Amino acid sequence: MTKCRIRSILSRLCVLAQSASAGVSPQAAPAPAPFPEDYLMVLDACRGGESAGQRLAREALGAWTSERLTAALAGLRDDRAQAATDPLRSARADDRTLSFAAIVHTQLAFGQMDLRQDAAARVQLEMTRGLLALLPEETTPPGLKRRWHLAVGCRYRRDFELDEARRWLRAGLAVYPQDAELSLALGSADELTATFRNEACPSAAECPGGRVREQYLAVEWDRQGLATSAEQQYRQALADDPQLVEARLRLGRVLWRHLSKARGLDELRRATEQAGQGELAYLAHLFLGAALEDQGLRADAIEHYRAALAQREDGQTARLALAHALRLAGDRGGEREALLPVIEAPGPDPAREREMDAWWLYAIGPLACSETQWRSLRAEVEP
Amino acid sequence: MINAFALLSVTALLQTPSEARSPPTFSMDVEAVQVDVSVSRSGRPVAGLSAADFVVLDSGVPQQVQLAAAGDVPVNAILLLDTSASLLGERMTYLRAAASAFVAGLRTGDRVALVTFSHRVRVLSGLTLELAAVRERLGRAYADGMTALSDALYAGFGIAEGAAGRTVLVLFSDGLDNISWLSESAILDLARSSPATVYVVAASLPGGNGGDRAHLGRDPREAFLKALVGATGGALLKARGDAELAQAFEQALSEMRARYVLQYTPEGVAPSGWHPIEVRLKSRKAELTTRPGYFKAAGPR
Repeated sequence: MTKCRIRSILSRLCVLAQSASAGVSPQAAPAPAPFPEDYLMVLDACRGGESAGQRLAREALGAWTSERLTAALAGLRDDRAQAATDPLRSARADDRTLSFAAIVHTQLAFGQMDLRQDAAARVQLEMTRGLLALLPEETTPPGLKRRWHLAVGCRYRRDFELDEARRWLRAGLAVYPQDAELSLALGSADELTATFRNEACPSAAECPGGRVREQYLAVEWDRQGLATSAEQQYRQALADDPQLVEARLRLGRVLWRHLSKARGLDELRRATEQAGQGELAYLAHLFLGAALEDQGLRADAIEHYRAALAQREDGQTARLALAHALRLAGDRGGEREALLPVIEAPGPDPAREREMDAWWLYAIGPLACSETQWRSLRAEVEP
Repeated sequence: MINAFALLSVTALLQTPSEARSPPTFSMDVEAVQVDVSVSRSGRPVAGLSAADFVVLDSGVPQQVQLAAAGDVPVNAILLLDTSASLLGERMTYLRAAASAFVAGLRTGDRVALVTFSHRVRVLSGLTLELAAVRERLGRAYADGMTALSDALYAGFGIAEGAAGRTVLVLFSDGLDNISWLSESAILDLARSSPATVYVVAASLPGGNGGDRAHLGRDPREAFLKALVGATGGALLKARGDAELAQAFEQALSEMRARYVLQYTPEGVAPSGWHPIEVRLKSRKAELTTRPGYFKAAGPR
């Protein structure tokens, strides 16, 4: 009997002993899934940029079936499990590789969402979720898992896939319950749904009876519920991060539009005080202006629209709001002056095209949802 | 089959050198009212009418009218085109071709402005006589983003208010609006006081190639577009598919041409406020389409 043979027998005896102590028969223990060499090869070919070869590799990975990806994930998981019990070896796919894989699959999913290939995108996202589960909490870059949940929820929100957005954001909150940005994003999905137009009846007065009226009432009931849910999420976000001015701003707007004019005005006033300079200040003044105009305080509203424009001179929305308020105030010259930059033919001005009015960004989602955030996460993983 | 009215003024805030060569068609020293009327019988335009054939009531008071011009009077056409992301791909090609054919159908002396909109309002050309340049600029239009229909209409009416003469606003839209700041009711108020007549070339509306909410008995998007054209005496022209867009734009052009422009200086009526107007023929039977009235603001404060 050679030394090797003896070692092999001892090893088997050891496995049998472990199985017996766990109450499992040795025959029931599944064999480890094979390590997915092919997966790592394709993944490796994706690294480093956007050359034709790298694009081809990503396309190839995007075409992998759910079963094939699941098998690869199982292989990676078992490899990690074996490494965890064997101090003499380490996992063949290290944390950086798995982080990179998570980014690649997410990027593939986003591309498939662009093409409305929703089922394929879900497969990629589930693969990513599985990969992230293999990583320790202290990942590189920091907050990878939390930021990934936020990115996916935000992406679905941006696409108006609000149920999916909620599902992913809630999954994130289940793991990170005190994350203000996740609460903010979840609240904004509810807020957006609450603002959807009631296609059955624009208002109770115009609503006919019967089934259509029932439909109207159901939609309005849902609207109140969603607005209340948004309010709760924004309050939670503020409790977790009192300096998150966007949560205050959104809270004010959702209260004012759907729940309580007075409480909404209070919060919007606080938001203008806290917002400082920039996009949030622009929005705070814009929203407060609209609320005041709604209350019949047109002169005050005009002042706030001007304050919004002081933050962003090219802000199309503030210009329109100001022009319209001035028109209603009878100041046609002022209206014209405010409107002129919008209706002048600007000629080719790429810089102006790149400027995004903060109102449009607000509608797309919280600022934490911006593409910049996702690009920054990618850059940290794929230096 | 359409009609519109205009309070005349000689504002020329947006004039360019090329515009300056174009004499204002209806400039006057006193405020007069123009009523843009479409007259048809069995769906066909009725030609050869004179001022004597018309009766115009302003706030119920008969007015002394002149026939300022028949439909061949030069026109300011403001093209307002929805180029949001739903227009990506082949649809955009159809839209460019249809709008280009519309501009090509305008005559010497007509002026055209080109505005595209998604969430952003882009004025690609202010009102100009240089039709070929505007056709060229249509090539710069591209599809992206969300839809701010009400905001774009406000800008369109803004251009109209700066123009002297007969003005039409030709809107291409499916009525969807998902990011405007201004409300539909604000736009309808504006439409009632604007000198422009609005034609809407509508795509993907029920009765066109979309009807998913027909069971609800109404479509708010179509309701808004109808209210808009109704307030200005315009027309809603539905395209059942993208290939019909050119036809719908062409129809807008011929509707525009087959109109009578009546003019009067209001007498015996209030100087400001809402003025209902009624236009009919003295002796013939026909369908007349005109805006229901106009809003005259009080003098400068």
